[in-house]
Amino acid sequence: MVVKNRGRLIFLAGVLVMLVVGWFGFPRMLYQKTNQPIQFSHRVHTGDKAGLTCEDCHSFQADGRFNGIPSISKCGGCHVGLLGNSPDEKVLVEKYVATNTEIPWLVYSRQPENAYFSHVQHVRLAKIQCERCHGPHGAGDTLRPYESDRLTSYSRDIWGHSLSRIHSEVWDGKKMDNCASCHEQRGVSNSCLLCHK
Amino acid sequence: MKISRRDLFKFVGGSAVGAFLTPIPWKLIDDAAIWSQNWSWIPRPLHGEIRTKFTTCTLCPAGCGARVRCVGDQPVMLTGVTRHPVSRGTLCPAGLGGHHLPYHPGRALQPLQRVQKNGKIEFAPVSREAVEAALAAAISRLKPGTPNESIVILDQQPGRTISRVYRRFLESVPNGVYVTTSALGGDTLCVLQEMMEKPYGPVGYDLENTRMILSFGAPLLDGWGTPGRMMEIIKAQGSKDPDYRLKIIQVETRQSRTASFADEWVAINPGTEAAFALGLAHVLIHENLYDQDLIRRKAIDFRKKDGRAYLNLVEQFTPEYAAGISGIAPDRIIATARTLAQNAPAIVIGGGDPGGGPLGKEEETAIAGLNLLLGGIGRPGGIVARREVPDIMSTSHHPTVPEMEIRDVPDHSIRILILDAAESGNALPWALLERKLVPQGALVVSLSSYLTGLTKHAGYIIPAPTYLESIQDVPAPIDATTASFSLSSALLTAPAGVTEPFEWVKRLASVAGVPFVEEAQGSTYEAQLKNRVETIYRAKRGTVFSSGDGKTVPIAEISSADQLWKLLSEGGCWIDSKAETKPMPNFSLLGKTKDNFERLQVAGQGRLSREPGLVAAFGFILMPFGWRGATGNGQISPLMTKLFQESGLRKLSGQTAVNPETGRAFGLTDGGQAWIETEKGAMKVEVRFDAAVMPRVIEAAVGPSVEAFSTAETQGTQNILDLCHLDDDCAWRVTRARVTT
Repeated sequence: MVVKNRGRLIFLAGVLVMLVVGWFGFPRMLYQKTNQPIQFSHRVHTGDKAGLTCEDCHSFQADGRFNGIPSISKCGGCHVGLLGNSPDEKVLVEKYVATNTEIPWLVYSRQPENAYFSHVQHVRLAKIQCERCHGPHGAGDTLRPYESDRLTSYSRDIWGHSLSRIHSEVWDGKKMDNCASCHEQRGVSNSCLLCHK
Repeated sequence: MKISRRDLFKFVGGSAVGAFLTPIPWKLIDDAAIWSQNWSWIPRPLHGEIRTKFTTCTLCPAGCGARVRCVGDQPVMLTGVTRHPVSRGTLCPAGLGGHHLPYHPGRALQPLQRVQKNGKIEFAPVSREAVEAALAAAISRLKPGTPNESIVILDQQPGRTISRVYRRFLESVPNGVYVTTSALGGDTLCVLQEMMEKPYGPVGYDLENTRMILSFGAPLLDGWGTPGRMMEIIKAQGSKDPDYRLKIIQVETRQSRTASFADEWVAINPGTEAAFALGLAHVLIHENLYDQDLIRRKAIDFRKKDGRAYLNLVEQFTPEYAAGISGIAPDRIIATARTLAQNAPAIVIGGGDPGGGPLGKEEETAIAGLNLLLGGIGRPGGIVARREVPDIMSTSHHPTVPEMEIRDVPDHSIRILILDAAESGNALPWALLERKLVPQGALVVSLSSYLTGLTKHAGYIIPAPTYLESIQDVPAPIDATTASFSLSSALLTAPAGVTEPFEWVKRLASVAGVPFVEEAQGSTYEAQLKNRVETIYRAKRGTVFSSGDGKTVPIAEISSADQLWKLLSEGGCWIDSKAETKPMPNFSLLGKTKDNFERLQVAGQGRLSREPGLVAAFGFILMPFGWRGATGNGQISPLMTKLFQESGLRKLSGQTAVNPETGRAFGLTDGGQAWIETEKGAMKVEVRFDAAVMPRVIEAAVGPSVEAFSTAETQGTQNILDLCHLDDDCAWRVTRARVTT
């Protein structure tokens, strides 16, 4: 029986081996993990202890421009000296705040140069919550490693964590399809020039 | 178990099929597409804090405010500054692409020398010291008091602090002459000032209060003067009573954009502006529609006993006579003159086209004469006086070196020509400069940042920092009714090989051993500019606009000269208060040039009447045209050129337009190629049929050449201006030509 179906079994073995390589080995080969310069706890900052909101640090300017990741001067506003006993806070204060050096954060959601994205239009005008695109990032105690695509150098967050692009969470994936489907759901124009100016 | 070759193939086949059930091929296709868009050599703006800075555009003399969006310190976008008192929130297309210019492919990044190699002209690196030594030797050979052996600095944006420095330098060397170019938009004003018996000071057009503009070819609605000012005036018309709206009549052979949008387009025969203007003057006088009181009191040559008075000249140009020359029906000439008189205050503007060049002095005299007849000088809605920008050099030192327009410089008299880096935005044919140079042994040095245009004819190039790379001052635009002053800041670091003209002039003076001004020798250009700002502050006149908050405050509220400097270096603008009305001196309607009566008579016959013998041989009339800021390849973003090429919005170098009937009669095809031939040479061009083109006229664009961005322009990229005939008064507006396929 086995001998009779030997050819089919070998063929199926090839299929199976490739499925394992494709779904488990390929992502490991494709993405390179890099740790963030320091481990930042969003939970500590947004929780009861500090009580900050997203916009306290990721703020908007008066004219609507989004500041993105806060500069070191913003961190230095509170962390002039050590406030706790975390080794990462020690690095923050001694390596960055004291020397007024910007932290080289690796930005998970960085969009390519050809895509224009306005935070103020989405957050202020459309009233979209930060979590809609960034997930529970603001509740984490640590920062996960930044995974960059070895071929494109894009963050893995752009494609999404599931390589099948069948996402279990709405915030997983920030490719053009994700933007377009959200726009479609909300009845917003999907004109090319809206994002590719 | 033995694995056969067949087993291996089946396994590979299975793997290949399995691969399609994994993300590998799909993800790799997507990644490959993205990878191909992100080559390492593709320039990318820096990531960093988004900052907004303000500065002033120096690409032409308009002095528009520019809002600069920077990522980190890198400018990535330029836009207009809302409420800016000069530019009113507008920036022209050339200005919008100004931040590309430091990366222009034709950029000169080190001193260069023109050399001939294997029969080709090339530019080879040379030391700055070698250029200075060559110039110093040439200066030492100049014989004082020999007018046909002059050293000239050509400054296309006069009135700046560096302009003053040039004049002081030229005073220190033998036979120094400070030369400017025709200021399209201001030519009529310059001629008007020359017609005054005593100096009347600078004047400008009170466009905001005028009811009618009669324009002789000036591109009023296409980048003329300060573009934002004109746009705001047009925008404001919508809310006005129709009877009081601004009326624009465009007198021009070509159906330019201004002609298309004007209330009336008067399509005159090529080169007949003087005849039309004198015809209008005839009607104004004969129907008593002119300011008789003013003319009786102030005009010194309206009536004269020798038969060479203005009245005698105008008498000849009856509507019928002017119609015969200009091609405009007598009734229309009469109607235009009546409309002018009925819509007072009215302004008559000359100037010409940025590519087609200025009108002649005589045409401008006839046009300025209309303004005097209408009595609009010194009155609201007419041509009004403004004050000079306070300047310590103008009060402490009166320049002795002569200032003249390039067309007034005697032919074959320039031994050393230094071309300043600033451009006027208008065309300037090399043939004009060549006519002024001595036939043998002339030395031409360019300070341009770009290896394009006139610079490709220079013997040496000492490149200056380009826009956004050095601090510069920007005086009032020539057509403004109030003086203004602003600064253009250094937002980028200049490359190591470029030299600030002020520093270079100091070095040259030192090497040549000429006694250049002591205070300048120990100073920096920034210190010179600060002195000028301090002088403005001390004058305590006018207001200061702050670009950051859009507010305007009286200068009296500025606490110190340092604060004024800070405001101006952050893109602010000082605006003078309105000048008091000055009594107008006596004036000459014929102008003060020698043989003015006869010269105007000849000009009134039309430019083409000067070469009647060429009609048979050359059946076409070549009329070059261009758009301000883009008559050459320097000072224009190559990205913008590509955009225009693809969109066809503007004609580029090598593109022409002819009337379809004329074209077909001469065997031309729409979209085909043809040769334009004049006495100066021949050039292959692309022909487009356009029913708006006058029969027998071929309109040729003086625009940027797309090829010149990818090939060295030093290899002799041909320009339509090379084919144009230069009249005795250095105008190149009309040329007899032959067009063949």
